[in-house]
Amino acid sequence: MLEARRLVKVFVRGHFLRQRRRVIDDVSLRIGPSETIGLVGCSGAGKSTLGKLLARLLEPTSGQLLFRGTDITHAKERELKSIRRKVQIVFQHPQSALHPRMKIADLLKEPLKLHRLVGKQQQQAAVMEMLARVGLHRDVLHRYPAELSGGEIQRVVIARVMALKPCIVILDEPTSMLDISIQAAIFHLLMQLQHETGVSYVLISHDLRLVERLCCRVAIMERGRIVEKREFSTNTS
Amino acid sequence: MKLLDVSGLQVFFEVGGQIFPVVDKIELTLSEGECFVIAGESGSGKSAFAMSLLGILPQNARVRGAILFKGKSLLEFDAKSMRAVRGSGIGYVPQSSSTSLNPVLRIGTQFHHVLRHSLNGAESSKAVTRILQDLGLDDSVALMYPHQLSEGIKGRLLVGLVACLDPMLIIADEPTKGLDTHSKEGILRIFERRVTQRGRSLIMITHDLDVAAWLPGRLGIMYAGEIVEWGPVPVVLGDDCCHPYTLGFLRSLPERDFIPIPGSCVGLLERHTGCRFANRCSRADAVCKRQHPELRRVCEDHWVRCFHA
Ligand SMILES: Nc1ncnc2c1ncn2[C@@H]1O[C@H](COP(=O)(O)OP(=O)(O)OP(=O)(O)O)[C@@H](O)[C@H]1O
Ligand SMILES: Nc1ncnc2c1ncn2[C@@H]1O[C@H](COP(=O)(O)OP(=O)(O)O)[C@@H](O)[C@H]1O
Ligand code: SF4
Ligand SMILES: [Mg+2]
Ligand SMILES: [Mg+2]
Repeated sequence: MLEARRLVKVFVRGHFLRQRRRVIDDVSLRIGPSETIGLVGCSGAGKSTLGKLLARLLEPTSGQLLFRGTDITHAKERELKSIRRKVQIVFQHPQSALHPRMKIADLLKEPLKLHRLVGKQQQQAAVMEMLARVGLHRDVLHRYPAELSGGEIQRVVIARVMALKPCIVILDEPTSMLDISIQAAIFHLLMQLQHETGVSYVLISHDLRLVERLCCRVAIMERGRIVEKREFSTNTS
Repeated sequence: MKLLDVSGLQVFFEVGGQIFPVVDKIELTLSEGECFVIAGESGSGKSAFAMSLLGILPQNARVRGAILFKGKSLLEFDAKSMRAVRGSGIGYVPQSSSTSLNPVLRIGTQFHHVLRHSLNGAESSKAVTRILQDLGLDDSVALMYPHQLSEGIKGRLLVGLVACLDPMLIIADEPTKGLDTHSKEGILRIFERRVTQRGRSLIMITHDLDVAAWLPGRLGIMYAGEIVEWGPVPVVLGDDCCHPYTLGFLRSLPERDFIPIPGSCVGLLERHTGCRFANRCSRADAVCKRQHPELRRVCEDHWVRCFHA
């Protein structure tokens, strides 16, 4: 479904010295439907950068990125519009993903309106369902993001992403702000949604126990390269 | 005299004319060289508690109770004295560390800003090099801006930045969350050295039980604004007489059952009667729904807020 062929990303640092760093170096990866792929590696290995390349939030320096057979490596913003909805990303730090001056109720309605997913009458009901799915209390609806705890914000972000019915979601340490019970609940929810909709996940995590529990394949990254790939037969969906 | 003595601490938030209680009657004492780890449900008030100690809660917050730091009542301090306490008395590593570094300043400059009160230019440069070495980071990091660094590196830098002021007490809010093992160990080693070699104290909020078990100390579990269980780390995480919330929390670890606690936490305004965990507790009975349990000593230095534990 999404295929990366020999991706390279070079960052140029400094205006005068123009130091070049290969942050992603010759990475190939294939993501099929209904799969959960783990991406692990130590800090600075390039996991988040690879995630952003896969979601085409960054443009690769070289290599190819194919979504359902179409080459999107250098696609322009306009062409990317439909792909943006299909390939979503949940960031390590969710605060930045939510508009600080909008109430949670409006933030939850926003994707429904933007993509005309439900009629006006059903909006309220859809919002309540989204809330219930991620285990949030009604209390939060009339608050602003700054008035929620980190875990509550991340659940709002996940609710918004899943409402778009994406094909692939890149989860960059998605539960790093949540406690472990809510982490378990969120992953049960994500797995259930995968079962129902065939969505695929790329799970970036430092928690090997979590990755072993959830992923069918894992790629281990080191200094921008995939140095090892592992399969977990127990988790193949 | 204790370094920190907190009693009857309550925090409320005022939203749209309504008062939401988020932290309820916390009692805590901490001596020099002691660590206290806090874990618990997200939204249970851990960060609000931490921020109340530092006097950095948002405008819409109200605090009640008493906080004595070195015998002085912090709640009576004005903004200026509180700033002085935050300098060398209590250091703070905020929850979203990566957004706490100044985005427009190079890392080296940020360290110099912190160090300039105590060291001259050359000394300060030397100190920065040493701190970076301690953190397992390359010298070149000093020349970079925060957005050019990965989360793990930013997390380590922030802890280094706070530790280089050498405060009596550091309050760290999930300092290792989302970091790889290498960065985690870097951070824990800094804390460990401060505690064992310099007799400094630490309050650390974390969900990572490996991290909690790293330093000897007490562990408090928070749920719905209250501490529901506390004791030495191995006792609270051990097998016998746990609070039902702690048991559920442990069962939801990916390496254990990976089963979430059913249901969700009671709303902030529905916390009047009974045990706050009753709507999710398999052991709840009529008493639990009617009466509010107090912390009860179950054995030496181990306290549980439950009628049936
Ligand atoms: N905009 C940028 N300019 C220059 N270098 C960058 C930029 N963004 C990232 N880097 C560098 O690229 C490398 C990979 O960063 P990335 O954020 O992908 O790491 P990561 O594997 O996600 O780490 P972590 O687990 O700590 O989040 C790091 O060395 C980082 O400093
Ligand atoms: N500025 C604020 N205004 C109103 N409510 C807030 C504010 N900040 C946090 N809260 C609420 O206070 C409770 C405790 O939050 P917090 O201390 O951040 O939780 P934790 O750190 O345990 O995850 C949550 O229910 C949260 O929604
Ligand atoms: S007091 Fe009752 S409801 Fe509360 S935790 Fe104990 S058994 Fe459960
Ligand atoms: Mg990252
Ligand atoms: Mg918090």
